[in-house]
Amino acid sequence: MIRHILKQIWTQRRRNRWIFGELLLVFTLCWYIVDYAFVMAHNRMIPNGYDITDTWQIVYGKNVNDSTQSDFDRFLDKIRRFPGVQHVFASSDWSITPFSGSYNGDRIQRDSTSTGYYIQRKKIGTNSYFNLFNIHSITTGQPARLLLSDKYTVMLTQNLAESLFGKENPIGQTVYFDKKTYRVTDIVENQKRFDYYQPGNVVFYPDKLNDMSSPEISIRTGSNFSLEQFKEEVTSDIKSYQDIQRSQEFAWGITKEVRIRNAIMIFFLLNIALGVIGTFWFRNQTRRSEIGLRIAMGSSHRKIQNQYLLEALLILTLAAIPAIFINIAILQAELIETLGQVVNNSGYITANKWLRFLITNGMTYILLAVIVAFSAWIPARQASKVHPVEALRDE
Amino acid sequence: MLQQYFKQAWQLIRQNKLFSSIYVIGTALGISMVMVLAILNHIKTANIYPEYNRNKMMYAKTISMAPVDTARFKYTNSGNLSYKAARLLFMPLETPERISVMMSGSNFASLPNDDNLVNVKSRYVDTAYWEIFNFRFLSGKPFSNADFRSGLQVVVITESLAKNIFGSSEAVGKYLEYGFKPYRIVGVVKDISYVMEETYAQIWMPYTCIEDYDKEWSERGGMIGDISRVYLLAHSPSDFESIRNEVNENVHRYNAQATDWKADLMGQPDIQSVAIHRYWSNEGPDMIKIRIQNCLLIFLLLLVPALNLSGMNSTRMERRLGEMGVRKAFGASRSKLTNQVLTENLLLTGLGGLAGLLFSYLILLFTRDWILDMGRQYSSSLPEGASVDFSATMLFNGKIFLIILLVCLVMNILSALIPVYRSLRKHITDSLYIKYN
Repeated sequence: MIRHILKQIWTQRRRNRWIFGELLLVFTLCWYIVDYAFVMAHNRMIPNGYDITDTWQIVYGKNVNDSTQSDFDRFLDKIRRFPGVQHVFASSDWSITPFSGSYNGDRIQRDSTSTGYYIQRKKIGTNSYFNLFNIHSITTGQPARLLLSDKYTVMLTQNLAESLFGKENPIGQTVYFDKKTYRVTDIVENQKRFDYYQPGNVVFYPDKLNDMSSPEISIRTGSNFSLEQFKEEVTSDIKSYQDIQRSQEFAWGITKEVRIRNAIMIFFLLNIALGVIGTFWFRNQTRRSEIGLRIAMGSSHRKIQNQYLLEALLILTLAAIPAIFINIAILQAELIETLGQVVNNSGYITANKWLRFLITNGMTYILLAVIVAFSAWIPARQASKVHPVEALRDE
Repeated sequence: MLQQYFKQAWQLIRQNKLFSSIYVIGTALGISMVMVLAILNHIKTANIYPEYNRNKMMYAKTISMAPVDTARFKYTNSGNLSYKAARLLFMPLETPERISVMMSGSNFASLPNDDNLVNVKSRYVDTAYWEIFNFRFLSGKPFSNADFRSGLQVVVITESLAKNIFGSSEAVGKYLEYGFKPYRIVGVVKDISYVMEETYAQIWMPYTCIEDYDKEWSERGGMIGDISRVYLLAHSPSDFESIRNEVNENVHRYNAQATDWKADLMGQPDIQSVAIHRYWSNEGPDMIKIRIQNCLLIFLLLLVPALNLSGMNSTRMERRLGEMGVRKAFGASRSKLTNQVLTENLLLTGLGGLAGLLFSYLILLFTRDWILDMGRQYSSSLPEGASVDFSATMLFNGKIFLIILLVCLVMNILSALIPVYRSLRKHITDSLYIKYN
């Protein structure tokens, strides 16, 4: 059957080459977009390392100094006593809460001479932070705990601990950053900066000063929390961290990027659909007699339809082969970037060049195959409805 | 003759409804994507209310200050210009017709002692600003030079803000509070669309009413500051080169006497088409790369549908081979036949183009909240209450229709020329003999 269809594709090559060329081009273009979407979906599936459902950010609009400290304390107390509020955390360091725009970067080493790794520093004043955002210790499985009494202690994320210490037990070892030596007290879950990012290296260490001059307050709430009531009784300046995440992604242009890529992909796929429908519809008209003959000779309607589908899929397969070679060239020219890759040797599929290539090309093929099969099926159904007598009379 | 072609083409379209509709949809798809890009570019670069002088404008946004002694100061700093930088590098220029400096801000506006606060976008400007941009004053006029020099608290507001605060656009002479300070309204202008990046605001006032607008910071030579834009209006685009030279001379002069920090304008002042791509304060846009990317994108957006249409055209031409053979046998020249087929095809492409244009308007309508940020690294979400309005001049104008005609022609040639040429090259006997198999 396949050999027969291949022969037919070859005899009709003059008519097929346009759709062939289009499929080839679109395969490569779609692969480029599919690869981006794959990395995006892959990254989003990695756990964030924290949990922002039912968490809210409250901005205390005023500056806090010695004279206004008591006002602020009362405000904080009011929030604490509000029904449904489970955990409260306040800090002036806006770079430590999830989806914050600011970032406090540094380099970490085992000692001042060994290899360094880029890290994000998070200075935490109270341990309620870890309860609030559900950041767990790897060793205990419980919400993580900083040793707040000793300011030269630190908790590392798991990926950072592995990069620094390999298979050694990191707890009790020392690390060097910010020109000081810190003792590792615990290992916490890997932390992502944004949903679509891969986990980066993060360190948590005690904030002795716990400055409150322009505070941001985070709360975790339970089921009996009423937002309306809170807005009325405490403050209307409250936003959920999920909203913050959304606006953050919008501001970083990722929302727009995804929309534009989707639009271009839909555009290409629509073109493919139109092209395949057009090409095969013409075939219906020009091959009516052939189809009539086939039906007259006992070919079933299903068989005619299958032949169309197979033919369309074979053209796609033939176009995919050179397209994949073009894709290899694009890959080797390093034109493919990995979205949100913070650590180079992350161990994720996205860092495995050829496995990722295989997966994304496979996905592209399946995607196009679905479109092509569906588009070919419309004229195929039409064709199989041809009455043999009608068709043969055309002769 | 042309009429005959069109008649024939119309008949063909009607005979073959399915082919025609697939063909038209295919063309419309391809053209709509290109038209979206063209319209966006038009909105960002053409002379549109109130920025009627874009073709004669030059802009400066940022400055980069590099330390002379890298042992003392490690890093190069960059940011917006300071008033000192504008005063030294731009204000003494002689070639431009007008020079203006703009700072932007936002704060609350309201009736005096009223709780109804409206968050507004404001621009602190000078008198030249009103001559560079052609605002339509519904009543009143811009603040005067005397107002500006003495730093009077006077404002020009938009019609919608006047209606919002006073309930009517008759607001000249009344007072409003901005940032909890009283301002007298001297003029009311027609609203500005959010898409006009240099002029969108609700309220304008002299920058001399900011207390320390000319404050000099001691760091980085005092050249980095709060000025959002310096506008230079040239007499004509041919002056751009001499303005640039003049600016460069000023930079040289500054750097010759500077001891700690050297200034670099990174190719500024920019003309409009470059200015819309300048986002970073520490580097200029790579225009060659941007142009190549845009051309490639447009080419691909046209090529894919063109391949589609070529396939359909070639099948159609094969079916009409007999007809062509007969025409040839009766003495029609090849160029005549080519012309005929191309005209027929152009009619279809034109229909597709029209549908594509309408479709691109739809796309813009549904994506207007974010599509203008296309090509930018960061997006800004719309300020509260603002809406992106496309005026008629942005969407319906000679340039857009010219572009669509051009795109249709390119599409026509891309999709029809090769199939037509190939089928007409066949010998008459072949064309007459070949029966469709």
